[in-house]
Parts: sequence; C-alpha cells; structure tokens
Amino acid sequence: MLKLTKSVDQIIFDLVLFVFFTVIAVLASGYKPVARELPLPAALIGSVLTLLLLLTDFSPYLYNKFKFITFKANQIRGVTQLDKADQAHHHPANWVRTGRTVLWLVLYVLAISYIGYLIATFCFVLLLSRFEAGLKLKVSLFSAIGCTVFFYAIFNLILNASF
Amino acid sequence: MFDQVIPALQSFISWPSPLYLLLGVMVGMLFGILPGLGGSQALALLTPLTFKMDPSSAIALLVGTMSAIPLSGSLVAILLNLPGHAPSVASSFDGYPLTLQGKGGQAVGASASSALFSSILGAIVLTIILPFGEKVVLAFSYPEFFMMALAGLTMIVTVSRKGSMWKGIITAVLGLIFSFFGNDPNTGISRFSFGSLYLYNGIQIVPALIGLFAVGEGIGMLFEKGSIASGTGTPGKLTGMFIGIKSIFANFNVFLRSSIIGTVMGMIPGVGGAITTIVAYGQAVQTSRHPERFGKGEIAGVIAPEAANNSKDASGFVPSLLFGIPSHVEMAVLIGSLTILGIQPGPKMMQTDPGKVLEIIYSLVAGNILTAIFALLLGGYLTRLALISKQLLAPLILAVSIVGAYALNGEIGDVIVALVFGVLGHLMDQFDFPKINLIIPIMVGSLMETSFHQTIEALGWISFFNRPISLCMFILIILNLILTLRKRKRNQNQGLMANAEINKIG
Repeated sequence: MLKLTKSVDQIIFDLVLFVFFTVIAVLASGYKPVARELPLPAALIGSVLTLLLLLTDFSPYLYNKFKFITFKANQIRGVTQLDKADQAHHHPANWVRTGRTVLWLVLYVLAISYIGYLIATFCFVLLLSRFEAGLKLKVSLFSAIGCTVFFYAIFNLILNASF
Repeated sequence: MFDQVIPALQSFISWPSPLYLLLGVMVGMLFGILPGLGGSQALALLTPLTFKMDPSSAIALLVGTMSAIPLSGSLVAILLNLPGHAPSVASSFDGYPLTLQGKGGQAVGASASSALFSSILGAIVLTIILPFGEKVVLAFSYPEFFMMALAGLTMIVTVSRKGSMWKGIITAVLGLIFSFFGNDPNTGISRFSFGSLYLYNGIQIVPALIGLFAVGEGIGMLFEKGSIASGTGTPGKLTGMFIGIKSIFANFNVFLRSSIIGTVMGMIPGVGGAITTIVAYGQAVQTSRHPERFGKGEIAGVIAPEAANNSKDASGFVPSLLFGIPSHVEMAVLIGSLTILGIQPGPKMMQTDPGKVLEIIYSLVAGNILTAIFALLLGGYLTRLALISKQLLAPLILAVSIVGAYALNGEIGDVIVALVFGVLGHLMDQFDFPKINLIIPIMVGSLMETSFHQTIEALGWISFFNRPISLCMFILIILNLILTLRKRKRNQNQGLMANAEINKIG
C-alpha cells in the first residue's frame, strides 16, 4: 500500500497546482514567441517544482532524501517533529464548512445582484452569524443591523456610490 | 521637488484631508489591535471607499491607516501578549513582562515615543533620498528595472518564513503566472483569458488582495471559537508612561541603531516587518552590557523592535514610489490603491507627481504623531477590543470584503476574483504556502515582463551584465541566494542532529 508523507487534502492541493501549471504551460506553448517569452518558462518551472513536491508527498524515501524540498524555513527541529506536523490530517468537517462558507458567499453575491446590496448584506450577516458562527439570534441581529447601517452610511450617504 | 513643499503642505492641511487622516489613524489602530488583521486587510477594505475621494484625502486616509498599524499592533503585544500582527511579536518579548511587573505604562510610553521618533527619522531620510532618487532613477533603465523586480522576487523567496523555501518558490511562480493573465503588454495578444471578457484585462490586484487577506482570513476566523484574546492575562495599570518616553534618551544608541536597521531593511522589497524587528531586537541583545536582562522586562527590548518597525515603513516608500516595487504587503496594497487614484508609483513619479510624494510623507509623519498620542491616551481601553469573538467578526469582514470588491468597478468579475483568491488564501494558510510570495509577483510581474522584453529588443542580452547597476544587482541576487542556501543547509543539518538527539533520548 502506498505510504503517504502528507495528508490526502494536502496532496490534492499539490496535485491541483501541478495540473494548473501544466495546463498553463500547454496553453502558453501555443502563443507567439514574444507572448510566451516568460509565461512558458515560468509554467514549466512551476510544473517541475510541483512535480518534485508531489513525489516527496508519495514517497517517504524521496521525502527524506530531498530535504531541500521539505525542510521548513528557519526551523531547527527534529525531522520527527516535522513529519508529524506535515502529516496532520485536516478533519473533513472543516472542508465541508469551508465549502458551505464559499456557498454562502456565492449566494451573497447573487443576492446583491437581485435584491440590492443592503438587504443582501443584512441577510448574509444575520444568517452566517446565526447558522455558521453559531451566535445567538440577538447578537446576530445586532451585528447584521450594524453592518447594514454602516454600509448605508459609508456607501450611500458619504460616498454616494451606486451598485 | 522642494519647490512643492509649501503647495503640498497646503493641500495636505486643506479640509477634509485632516479628517480622513484622523479616520485612517483610528481605523489603522483598530486593525492593528485585532490579531490576524493588519495593514493589508485595513487598506484592502478602505480602498473602495477612496474611489469617490480626491487624491489628497485618499492619501491621508490610506497612509494614515498604514502609519497606525505598527504601534497599535505592538500595544496588544505589550499589554496582552497578543501580537496584533507578525512584526509586533518582538515587542512582546520584553513588553509583556514589563506589564506583568506593573510597568505596562513604561512599555507603552517607550513604544509610542520610539515609534514616533523613528518614523520622523525615517521620513527625514526618505525626504533626503527621494530628490537624489530622481538622478538615481534616471540612471535606471530596462535592465535595472528587470533586475530590481527579480531581486524583489528572490528576496521574498529567500526570507520567506512560512512553509519551506520550495513552497515559497512555487508560490512566487504562481503569482508570476497570474500576472501574465490578460493582454500581453508587448504584443497585445490576449493570454489565459479562457474566453472571459473580464480576464482580457488580466487579474486586478485590488480584488486579489481583498480576497487573499480579507476573505481568506474571514473564512479561517469563522472556524475558530472563542474570543480573540481568550486565555491571556489582564493588562494592569498604565502608569509610568513618561518614564517610558524618557527611556528613549537613556537608550539612544539602541534606538538609533534599530532605526537604521529598519530604514535599510525597509528599502529591500519582501523583507517584511517580522524579520526587521527580530534583527533589531537581536542587535539590541548582542550590543547590550546586560543581555541577560532581555526577555525579563528590559526597556531596550521594547525600544529596538518598535524603532525598526516604524522606520521601515518610511524607507519602504523608496522602492515603492521610485520603482513601483512594493517593499512589503501593506505597501503592495497601498500602491494598488494609489494606482486606482491615478497616482502611478514608478520611475516617473518624482517628475510627474512630486507634490503627491510630499503629501505621502506629511501623512506618514502626521499619522505617526496622531497614533502615538492616541496610544498614550487610549492604550488600555483599545486593547479590550481584542476580546471580541472571532466568530462575530468573521461575517462582518466577509461582508465588507465582498461589497468592497464589488464597489471597485461594479464588476461581478472583481467579486469572483476576490472569492477565488479568498479560497486560495485560506488553502494556502492551511497548507503552509506563504501568501506574500503570491502577491508581490502579481504586482511586479508585468514590470518584469515588459522590462525584460524591452531590454532584449532595445539593448540586447548583454545589457543585463555590462551596465554597472544591473550587474551589481545581479551579483547581489546570486550572493543572496548562495548565502541563504548555505544558511538553510546549516539549519537543516542542525535539525538532523537535533533529531538524532531526540531519537537517542527516546
């Protein structure tokens, strides 16, 4: 069985970076020479760097061999401690919460477009404070009203900005 | 430039600039006190508010905010052992022990006066260097601009303290890639737009900044229970402030050396305040007759980092204003904000906008004076804000970020950029990738590409190496890389030896 040196979510992130750099390199190779003068070498360098990082993620041998990749800046700690820190697993519930927060933000943006930024802000702050942050209704309401009033004062009254 | 001294002063003191300066200082102090937030977040959130302002008022607001961050961050570090942001960490080494001894007032007084005098010193140095900077700037051409951009990139990679150096390089390359999005400045070809009209103009720096530092922090804060200052002791009484102010003169050598360190290191893009203050603290310990007193409430241990932290902000304007290369994160946001206001930092700024440069200096000095006064008057009360729950703050920060990003141009694309960079910033925090390494390349990537191409076309490859300034910078870049790699190799070997010891004991 494959022995990983990092948590799965960290490996996924490194993999996404590698794919991103590779895609950019492929796209850059299709541009005119002047246009790809810096993007193509940069993307290739990024691909190589992230590929090596991925290899150390999958291989404990390479992880210990390539210390210049894995050793953290300005740390003089034992390798054992570094390994434990790097292998710390992020609880899946945290990623679910992150995804939910992003979803709230997307809904907020859509709401700004359809019902106006003041109402959207009030609803967003109230609901996020109440359901994600777990604050009491009274506190969430006060926070939402305060934020909405602040926006109205700054953007509508003082700056006369329009959305 | 000196013929603009009086007109710039008149512009600076004309209403409503002083009001915005005061507002900026108050906002800056608020953000400086709240851990996890700092100048970059404050400036990113204030930038949309400046769109409808005249440039003088906007400069007063933004520079006033930035000038208040260092000292206010140190207040929390001294009084609550809760550094407002990374550069303030060193202030807690001796500041908090002083507070526990009932001498918090001395520490605050020393910190405030140190910040005030060092920022004035830095502003004087800035004013002296900038006019000569015109001649220096004219000696710089495309090869020098490229080398300066490259130096900034290598510096942030080599001094990066988050994650491994390897991750720092990857992040820097990622930032460079993002800077290449949009129209190629040399050919006009659209690159990496993926069919999106918004991306034809590339990734805008301000929404990216708002996303990385405001949205990213807000997402992280939402998950953290409890108040910001939970688990710390109470500050005690703020007496003895005048004793602290007088201690500057008793430790003048430390103050002067630290100010010089801050001034010099502030001019180097990417070094950052945390490293500057640690270096200044270290030299105070090494040059002291009683180094054993440090860490236990030695007043010089408060003066040194504070002097460096504030003088670096003034000298940080040298590369930022003269070359358009931000010296640190807050400066990166400030430059982005100034650009939106039509003030273009860079080689020609001294010729086209000398008055604005002077207004920036006036705002910096006045902001620091105001901040010191506020710190002395309100220090104890302000730190109670650190008791606010993170989960109460997070939705507010997110709301201000989204509305702020939308208010830029009324473009949904800006909000999407802020969202994407917010998620990216949160993930980078989780996986130990340094965010500063992402934002600096986005700022300088275009300059780097343009100057590189113009050098090749106009002067040829050899001009990188046969022009004295360019060659010197190239040699310094190589030396910096070599020395850093050697030091990291030494640290790495020490780590392996420590591990061997741990295994023996275990």
